[in-house]
Amino acid sequence: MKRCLLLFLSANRIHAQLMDGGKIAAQHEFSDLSDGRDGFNAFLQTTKCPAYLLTDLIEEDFRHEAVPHLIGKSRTALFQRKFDQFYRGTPFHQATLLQRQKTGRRDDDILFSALTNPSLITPWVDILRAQQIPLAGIYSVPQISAPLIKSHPSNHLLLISWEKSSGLRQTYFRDQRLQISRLTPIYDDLTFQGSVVKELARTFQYLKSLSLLPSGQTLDVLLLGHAQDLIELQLELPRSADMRYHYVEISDLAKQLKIDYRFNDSDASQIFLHQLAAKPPLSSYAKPEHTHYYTLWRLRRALNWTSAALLIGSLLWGGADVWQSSGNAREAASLKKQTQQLTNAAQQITALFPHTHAPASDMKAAVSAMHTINSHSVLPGEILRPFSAILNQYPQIMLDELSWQTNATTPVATGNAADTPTQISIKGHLADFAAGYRAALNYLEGFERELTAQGYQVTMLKKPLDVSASGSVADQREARDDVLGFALKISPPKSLQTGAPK
Amino acid sequence: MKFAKSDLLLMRRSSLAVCASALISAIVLYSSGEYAQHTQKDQRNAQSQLNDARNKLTAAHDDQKNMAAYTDKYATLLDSKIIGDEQRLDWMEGLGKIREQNLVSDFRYTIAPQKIYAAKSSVDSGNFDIHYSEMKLQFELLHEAQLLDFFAALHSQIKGWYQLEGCTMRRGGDKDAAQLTAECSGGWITLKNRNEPK
Repeated sequence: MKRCLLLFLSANRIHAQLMDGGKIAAQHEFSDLSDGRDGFNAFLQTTKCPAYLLTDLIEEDFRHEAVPHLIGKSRTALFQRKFDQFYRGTPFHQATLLQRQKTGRRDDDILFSALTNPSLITPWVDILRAQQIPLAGIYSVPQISAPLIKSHPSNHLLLISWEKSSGLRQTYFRDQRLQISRLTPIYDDLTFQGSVVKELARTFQYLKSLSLLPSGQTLDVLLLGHAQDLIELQLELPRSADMRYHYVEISDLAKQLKIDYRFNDSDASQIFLHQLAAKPPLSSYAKPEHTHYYTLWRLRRALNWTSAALLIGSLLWGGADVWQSSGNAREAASLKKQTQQLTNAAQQITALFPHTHAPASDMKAAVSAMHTINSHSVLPGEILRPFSAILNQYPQIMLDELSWQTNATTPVATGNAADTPTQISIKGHLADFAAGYRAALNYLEGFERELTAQGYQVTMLKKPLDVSASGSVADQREARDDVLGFALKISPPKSLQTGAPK
Repeated sequence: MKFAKSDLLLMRRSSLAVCASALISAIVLYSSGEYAQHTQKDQRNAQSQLNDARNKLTAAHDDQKNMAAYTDKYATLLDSKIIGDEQRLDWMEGLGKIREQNLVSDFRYTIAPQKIYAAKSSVDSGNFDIHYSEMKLQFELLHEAQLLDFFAALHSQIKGWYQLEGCTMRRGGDKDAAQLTAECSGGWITLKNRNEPK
């Protein structure tokens, strides 16, 4: 439990206890006389933590109203009208939604309540404000009681508790919802047990008269007290078919609520105070002007948390950045070391190079370029000698013109004669055949076959005599030798296409 | 909720704390970001330098191999005056000497202005520009073997590389019907290093 100040206000005094870590660090009682208020003022000067004010006053009124289900400004205006109507004289009022009706207009069942005697509260609240104490809210014991009976199965339950400084508190719940609450002061001439016996009968009659308890309905009475007091109560309480008693030991309840406090009597103030500090209700009797310093305190706390979150976040982010970067730095150092080693190795190699006319890469480029160029060059002898050897076998073929062309711009080996780099063209005629056309043509065909056999590709551009069906033929008796002229296009074999580098 | 002046005094410390923490956070984030950026850049540079060093080492190894394989061939090219400026005068003198040897009945030549060698098939010449000086030759021959002798002499006696591209030989000539005429085309190849001062 956080550090906080718990205040228990009864009709004529205020009990203040400073809580720290779930335990009471300091506690004081202050009367509503001027001495007590001065003492309270002095006490607050040393205590600057959030405060919760729990009131246990007779002057607390409850009214049930079914109001139309509204939201927003309309709801606020409606509630304000109700407050003006019921509780004009006090600023300490609140409206609690009990349930929404399930039939008809589905109105809201609202419990309007107020602390009707502000003069009992205002002086203490003024002191708190003067001391700039962050007041979280103003609550009442019936309001805090509601969570205690949430788990009880009864639909008509009367919770009876005793607060030493204020008296006997009887709070009636229907369907776990607060309906009314009564506080009866206990005077010195009456014991706790006697008060319970006396007031319980009155309260039962009161509930009957208000028709809150249906006829024939058994009232469950939950009695909260010290073990010894409860034993005595069991003996003193009259047995009745209208009421069913449930005895709850205050120390057991404290244990259940994890309250670290030793109870010596039936005073339940600490139960309510601890419950308030642990789970403060969302609504309270305090108005914004009462909780002004609490709002500022929360704002300050939010700013402080924001500061801390910013610092921690940035430090974590920055730390992660630095941690990640240190990896990069280590890697960079390692890379530089490797670079130095490789550079040294390269320098050692280049230091051993002989003095040359040009860098090795330039030498390679020049030699390679010349090799490529030379490969496109064919010397005449390489072309002519093999061709001449074949031609010598055919002495009746007379050459008139021989040419060859190397096309260095064309790739060497594509498999197509037309694409080969070197092309030989010959023009000539057949001699000494007179009118033996058939023999002349066979002779030339023999020459072609021989060339082809040696790997040449031969294309006939012009035949000595066109004897095809589509051609026309005339008498050749008068013709001269050059009538048997022909032209061939020859592609040498691949072995002769490439020249050797010089 | 309305704030009074006194409220601001109450909030002063928390407000200052937020401002201070925002400032410190900004400084921390900026500094760490700068440091991260710096180390990342440093790491990238180191990686780049390492890659360069690797390439240099590979190049050194290649050079080592190339040095052994190409030094002699390159020296031959230099000696042949294929690398460097064209030696047109040498070519003319060489042709004159060949003429004196009477390898062919007669020949004439024309050398065209130098140009960049435009081979369609790609020739990777590195830092070298390949220059080409076209030379056309016209011959009068007694027989075709003279042509072969001429080009053999041209390649062996003149420093440089004459790229012969083609010849055409025809029967008949001006002096005697038994003679041959020939026309040949080609060009002198020279390699010029671009990095050398002109």
